[in-house]
Amino acid sequence: MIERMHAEAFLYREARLLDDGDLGAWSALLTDDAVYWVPNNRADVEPQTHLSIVYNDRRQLEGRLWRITESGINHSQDPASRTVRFVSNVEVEPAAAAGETIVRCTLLIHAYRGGMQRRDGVVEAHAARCEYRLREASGNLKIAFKKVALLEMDGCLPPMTFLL
Amino acid sequence: MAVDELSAAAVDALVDPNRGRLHMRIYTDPDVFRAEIRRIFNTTWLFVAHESQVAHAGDYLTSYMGLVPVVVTRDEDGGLHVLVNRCMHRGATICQRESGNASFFRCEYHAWTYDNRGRLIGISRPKGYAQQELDEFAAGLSTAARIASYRGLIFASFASDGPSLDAHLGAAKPYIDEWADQSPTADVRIEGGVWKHRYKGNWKLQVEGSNEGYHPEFLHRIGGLLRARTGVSGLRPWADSTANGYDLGGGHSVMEFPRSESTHAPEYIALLHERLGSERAERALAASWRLQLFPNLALAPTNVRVIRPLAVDLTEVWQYNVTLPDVPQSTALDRIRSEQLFYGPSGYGSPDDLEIFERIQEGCLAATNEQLDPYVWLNRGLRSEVHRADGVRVAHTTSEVEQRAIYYAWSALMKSGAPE
Repeated sequence: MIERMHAEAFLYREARLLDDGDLGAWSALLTDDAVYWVPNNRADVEPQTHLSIVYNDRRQLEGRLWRITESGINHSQDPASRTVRFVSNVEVEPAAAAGETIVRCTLLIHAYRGGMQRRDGVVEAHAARCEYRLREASGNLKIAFKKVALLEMDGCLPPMTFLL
Repeated sequence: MAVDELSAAAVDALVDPNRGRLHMRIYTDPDVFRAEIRRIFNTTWLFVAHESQVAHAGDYLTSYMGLVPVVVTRDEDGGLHVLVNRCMHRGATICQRESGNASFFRCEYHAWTYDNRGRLIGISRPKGYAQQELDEFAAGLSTAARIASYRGLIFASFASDGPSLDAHLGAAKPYIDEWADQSPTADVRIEGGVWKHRYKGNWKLQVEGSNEGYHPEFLHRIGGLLRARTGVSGLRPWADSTANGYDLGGGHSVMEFPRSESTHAPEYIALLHERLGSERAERALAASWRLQLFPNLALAPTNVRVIRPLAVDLTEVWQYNVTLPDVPQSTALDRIRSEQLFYGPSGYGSPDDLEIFERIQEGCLAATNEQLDPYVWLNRGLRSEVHRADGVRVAHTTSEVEQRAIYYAWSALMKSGAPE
């Protein structure tokens, strides 16, 4: 199990990479068997039988990243959202598997699409409770599981095609 | 509040379905919106719930009919009711939740209580009322004038007269049958999640968009690119297919998808054949379409979409997941995955549709300048569409036959409610 300060430093770096749009570097933080999950409606449902906003394995995530960074076809992100995210309330606990740590935190993302002709753009704020399973492998810490449970997951959500 | 004064001639000037020509004011003018609420939503059949959402005695679901909040309830004898969600005393809503189970509803302002059939069964401190004063409330809650179901879909209307639900659905019924026949043991169910979207645009943009066959190849071309890249399924080219669109009458329409090889699990195919016989089973298995039922419902094999107007430029869409009882796990999983791949706030399709609706709403602000061309067009394939003997209009799925269907019904309803 890793120390809380170690986990915090990792989460801050992840947040910076996402806010910088450095999705290649972010992708390198994932294990090959990583799962990225944004549940829909409720946080405690089975993703096999209930819709998820995102439930992606590594291969599906690569497609998502490619769309954002390279495809040039992402209409709901034209112009793209800038984001600023705040990570807080970090806690660590042992995971079932050796070399893994469960990390919980709260997350506040502010997103803004600047430079639009439609000038009614607002700063969207999304609060979430996150759960990670971080794995240590050959000296590196990686994300094996990331769950982002949005506060308003059972409400009307705007398009969110950037990464949470 | 301005009076709804839109004349029949004014309706004709706004919408000419025979040319596929629409004035942009139908998306932007609050007076048109007010007339639509009165002449369409306050009179015609509206989808309010699916039977599986109010399956047991006491179950309720809140919904809207036009702008009116309603509660759909199932009483202890199995009867369905559509109650207006407002206390007859001073107007507060009596039910606050999306859904639940309750034998009565209480207005918390003065503790007046109604049962789930809408009868007033309790008034606090009744001695303060003379009988004549209480008589004002004898009818209980306001209700929909008519309520009827077809294959589990519950519709209601505020008009006591008018076409039956059967007549209203008309040529759309065989598609609803295919939709309801998908399950090997029983009727389909609404469960497993709902997408909720709100967009800054007119409600008709979603009605048009629910089965618009011209746009996927372009707006959603990312689908094919992602499929090629990741192996995850996506859209196939449409223009070269033989898939058709159908104007079914009554404002309803269906868009066929290009046929692809069946991806159904053999076990599911066998179960369905066993239940329905070969002919019905094959029809249900081959169902690959989007059905739009005017004005507020769209069906697809994996979802039910409910459209709710809030203002001329604000609309809410709730898209419920559809599950099939007793299908193999792989079939259930395939359905969930395909639904969430395209739809939802982070799907590869829905966000772009919502973006386009908001761009259209913005573009149609050009309607505020009378010197400018005020029209948008749904005339693609108009001259080559086939008029079948049963009244159904048919054209290629990439024509705009599905969207024109909306405006024949829209025009007729708007004119029938117009002042003399």
